[in-house]
Amino acid sequence: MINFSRNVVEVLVISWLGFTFCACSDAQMKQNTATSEDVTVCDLLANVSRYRGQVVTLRGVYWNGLRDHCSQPLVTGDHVWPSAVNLVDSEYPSFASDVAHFKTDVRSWDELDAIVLREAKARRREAIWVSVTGLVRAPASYVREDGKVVAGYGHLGTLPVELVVKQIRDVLIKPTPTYDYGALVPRNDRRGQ
Amino acid sequence: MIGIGRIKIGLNAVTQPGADAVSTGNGAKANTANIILQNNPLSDGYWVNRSPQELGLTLIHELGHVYNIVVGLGGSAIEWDSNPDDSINWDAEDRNDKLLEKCR
Repeated sequence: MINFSRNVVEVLVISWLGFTFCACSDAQMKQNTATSEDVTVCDLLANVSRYRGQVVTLRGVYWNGLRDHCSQPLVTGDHVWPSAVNLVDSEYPSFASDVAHFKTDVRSWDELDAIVLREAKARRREAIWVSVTGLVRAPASYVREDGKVVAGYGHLGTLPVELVVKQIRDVLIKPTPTYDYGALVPRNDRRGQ
Repeated sequence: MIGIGRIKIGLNAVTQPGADAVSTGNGAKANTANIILQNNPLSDGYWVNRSPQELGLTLIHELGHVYNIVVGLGGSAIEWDSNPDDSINWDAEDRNDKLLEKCR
């Protein structure tokens, strides 16, 4: 395993076979990670009805779900949704009609979480990009006949879409100080929800 | 319903409004709500590794959310503790922790 300096570019790729590190340009990184079949979080949120009930590979930043900065956030009625997707595994209690006919590759998710915990405990600010294959859950309509906006997924129903994870791959850490990974885990004096 | 599931790594539990839930802008209202305890062994909040007292406090906290969400239960002093971007509102968490201080 080769560990390159963070102040150049750090690239971390998880494959089925294990961990591989490499350093290269942004363009090369994109070639090495996202594939032409990958859907971005922004694409998904702009075309939810197209992807609802489908198994897709979604590329985004793993930070409180899977997210991105979208120029046009999803707006339904008067509600502006966060540009993020809730992630659950195939064993998660299902409150929805779309049932996943696969089992989550828990190992691929554990490998990602181990990296995230390491970065969180080091209180790093960065962006951890991943590709997540899974089943898209979303409401058939975000606005009911009475005009009220339906609640979403995750804690307190704040996210507009849920993805039942099948597999996670192509983890890539970009050192751009974008997301506070330290905020994902409570400090020693804080307990969390 | 109270269940277990893999939730965000930093959390002990979440409360999800039921399937009929509607957004209120700064919250949600529904006829039911569900509490999910952390089932990820990598998390410090993994329910198996927590004491009965810790689990009790977590359930009281989440039941506070349930009372706020479910119509007709009358609400509770537990605050909504998610930011608009769905990240954890740690200031609200601190206030919620103080509310439960006497239960420790």
